[in-house]
Amino acid sequence: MSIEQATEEYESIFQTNFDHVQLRSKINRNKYQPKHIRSIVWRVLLGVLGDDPNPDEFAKKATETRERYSKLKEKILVDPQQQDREDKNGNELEQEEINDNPLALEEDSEWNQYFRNQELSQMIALDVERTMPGNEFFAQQKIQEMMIEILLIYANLNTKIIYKQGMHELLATIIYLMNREYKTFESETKSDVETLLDEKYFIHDAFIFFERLMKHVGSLYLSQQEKTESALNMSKLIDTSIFQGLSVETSFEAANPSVKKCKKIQNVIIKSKDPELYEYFKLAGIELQIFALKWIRLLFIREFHIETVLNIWDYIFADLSPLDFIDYFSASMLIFIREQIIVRDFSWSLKRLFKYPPIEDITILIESTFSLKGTSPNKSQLNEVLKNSKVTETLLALKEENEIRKSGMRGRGRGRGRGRGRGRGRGRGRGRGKKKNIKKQPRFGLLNKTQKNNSSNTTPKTNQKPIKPKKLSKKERLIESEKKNNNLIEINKKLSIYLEMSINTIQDFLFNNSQTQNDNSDSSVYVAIAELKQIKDILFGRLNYEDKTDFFGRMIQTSDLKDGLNKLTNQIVMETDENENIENKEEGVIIDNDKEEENEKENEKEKKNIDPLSGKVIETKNPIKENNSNPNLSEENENIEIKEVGFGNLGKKKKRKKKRTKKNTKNNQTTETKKKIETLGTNLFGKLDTFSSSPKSNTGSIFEDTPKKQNNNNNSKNDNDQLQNVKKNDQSNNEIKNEDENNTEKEPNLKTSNDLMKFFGGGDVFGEGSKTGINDNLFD
Amino acid sequence: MENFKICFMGDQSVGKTSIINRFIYDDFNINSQSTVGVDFLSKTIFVENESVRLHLWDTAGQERFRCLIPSYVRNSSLVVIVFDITNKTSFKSIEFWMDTVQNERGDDVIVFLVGNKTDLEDERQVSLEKLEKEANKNGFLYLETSAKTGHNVKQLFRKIGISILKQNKKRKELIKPELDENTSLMNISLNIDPNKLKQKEESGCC
Repeated sequence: MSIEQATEEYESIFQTNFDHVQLRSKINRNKYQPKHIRSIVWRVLLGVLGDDPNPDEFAKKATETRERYSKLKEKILVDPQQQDREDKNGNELEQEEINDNPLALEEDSEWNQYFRNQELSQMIALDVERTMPGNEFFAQQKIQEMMIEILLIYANLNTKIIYKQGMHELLATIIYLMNREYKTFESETKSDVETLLDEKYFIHDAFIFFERLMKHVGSLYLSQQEKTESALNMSKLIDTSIFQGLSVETSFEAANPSVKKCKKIQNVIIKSKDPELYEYFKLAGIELQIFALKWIRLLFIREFHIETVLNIWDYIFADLSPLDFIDYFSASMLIFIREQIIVRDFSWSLKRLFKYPPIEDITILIESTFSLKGTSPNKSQLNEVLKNSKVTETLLALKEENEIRKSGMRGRGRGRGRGRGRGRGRGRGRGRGKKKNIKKQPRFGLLNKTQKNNSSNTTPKTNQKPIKPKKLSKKERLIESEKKNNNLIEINKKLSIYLEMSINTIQDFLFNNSQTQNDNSDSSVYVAIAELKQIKDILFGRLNYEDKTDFFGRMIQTSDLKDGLNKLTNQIVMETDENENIENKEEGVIIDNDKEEENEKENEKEKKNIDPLSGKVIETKNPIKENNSNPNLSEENENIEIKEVGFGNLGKKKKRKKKRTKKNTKNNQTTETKKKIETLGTNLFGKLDTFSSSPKSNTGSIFEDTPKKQNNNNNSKNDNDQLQNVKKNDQSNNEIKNEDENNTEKEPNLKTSNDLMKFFGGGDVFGEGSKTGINDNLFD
Repeated sequence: MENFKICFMGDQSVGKTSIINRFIYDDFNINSQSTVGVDFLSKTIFVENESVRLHLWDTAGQERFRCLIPSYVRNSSLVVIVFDITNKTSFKSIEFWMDTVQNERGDDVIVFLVGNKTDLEDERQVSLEKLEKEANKNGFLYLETSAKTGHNVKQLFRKIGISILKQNKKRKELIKPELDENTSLMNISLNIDPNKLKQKEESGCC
């Protein structure tokens, strides 16, 4: 490189009307890539030469900063012996000193500082000595000493960070670049470029440069152990029913800024831009910080060739918020190789993540970074990547395996609830996926599991309108998720209305025909229709029950059980709420109520399948149908009256439940409708009775359910036999069967609750689960 | 084949990465880059007629200053604490690393103590007697290696494999009856599930 070229480039960029914002956007739009004066451009971008850089003042600013460094060096690298030492023979000297002045350590702060520096520089030297092995430039002692000096001064100035592994490599990259551009200039009067690239001030500039860089990214090197307490307190404030994913532990780790950053990449960017990848990470139990910590702390030095790194840094520094760019760039790196990540074998995937494949041309990464950020209108590249990769199959297969594994774990307490929850969630998801509306479903919380199954359809679509992720406060997130929640419920309601319309058509048709023919097949068809209606109602309201059981399982898993007892009662009330809702819906939805017989059947079905209370009752006594009919009939009368109470607002359900729990458990009599309370009360207390009266709550007790379960299955099969005449209802058959299963599956879930109660009794809950860690799934 | 997580811990620059590199690539680089955060490598070995896949988690020596280490120790089947026999400080730190492990796992984990750099026997600062004491006190398995010459590295991983298998068998015996019952239960629910899904897909929807 000649100084002429540098001058030419410098003059073309830094004219009198220079505007750094323009320079940034030029770089971002690939209109300009620094060639000969990169070190100057970077310093300008980072603000080394003034926060509002003005080319006229560059030389002046540079001189100022250089003077500052000289002063700092003088002050910090004290030499109590007043020798002409330039921090070179540090090790030798230190030993002499210790022998000569044993008391100096306590008495003299200068000595103190001196020894501390010796210690520090030894630690730093351990890393500096092995900077970029293989690169001879860094093997030079001169360079190593320079690096140690810079890092030492920095450590003295920044007592929070001091020195952390990785910083030396950031510095090395700066030095590598500067070494290429800095020159010795003989002439007396120097041009601006010559002043800025004067080798005489190499170390000065390197330090100021490094210090400034650390100002931007230094937070990534902070560890905030002392903040764990507040993090724990914070997590108490989070309503876990909404932020299910955030366990105590994750908030604990989030106290570390770099870990927090990784979590943001994973749980915000990846989650919204590539849900399949997100799902995979969840399945594999991979948390981003285990490999991406290195990426972001080292600003991708280890992942790319040094020349590529320099280019990436152009973009990082050109961004007004360099840390943001890092996030999105990491995400685009991951999405770019998603096909290599989403593989059956988790350890292959991990290997790939720890060893990012060499990439020759990073243009695509940069482009998708901007499109992820939402600052580029060009989204084709990213969509291309997302569209072309065929990972859905792998993901599905993995999910299946995961479920098998999870259900294999059921006996061991924690895994049980979760495995079941997932299994069912998926089954339903597919069923619903057939509907056209599925594409409109927002993706988040409740439906995550089911949605991922269909993501092959939805991914490209949804990526066309990337929502600009912004930093959300806890409260905002709360509102956000509540909004989404309501959305979801809306969609389900819509679906159920569609279903209802279809049912009505069939029903009308049958009704007209049956008046003329009067044969026996009618009743079974009506049963089928009743069952279809039941599905419709589940769609309308019972989804909450479903998810809650899953939540329950997860709750056990993450052991975020502080107010678990509360939730337990919540669950019970939710269930009763559910019944209520279903019954209420009945009223709202069924238009031709004149068919009383049918309604009755329907109600009966409803009870049998959905009411967990009666399910529980069955369990203690053997025959199913007889027992079923009794409580149901009595309840039915009440139900009719309940209808007058009105239509529960599903959207606000979650919030209400809590209130209701308190009301119900504390004073039953104060709620508006007596009848309502009675049903709720009986359900609730019935359930609590079963909790307390079941003495064996150990794992073994689950297996008592097994024969009963088969019974139930048989039962549903009988139903199915009856229905087989009607072709059109084949599908509903399946659905019903499914529901029956779900029903039977509830019992073990209740058992889980039993276990939970036991847990609470033992007070042992908090100890166990806090140990679920990053690789929980991976290495079970 | 079962996977086992093994966590390498120890002070900065004692040779954790080098031992792993020697084992996996049979290679040694006098100046390997310092580890930032954590590194991951895996290799399958055969011990006692069984193949065992080892997932090696190589932590950064300086991570001791952060709160991340516990999450690496979690779920490890075995922890290897490495120190440098030519560096007293790294030996003294064993206690710190041990505390970290015990805080996270109690006595529920096998610990190997490895003294590295036996090729620099002349510069040895940690006497064998001291080592014996330390190992006996805590019930460690102790081994001296040299990543540079390859001395004892293979043996180290063989021993790791053997003790992991042993531990695994013990654990399996403990939970076996429970597992059997579970599988029967599992089959019931799982047999139905996939079929149902298929049928549903074939039958179409409104």
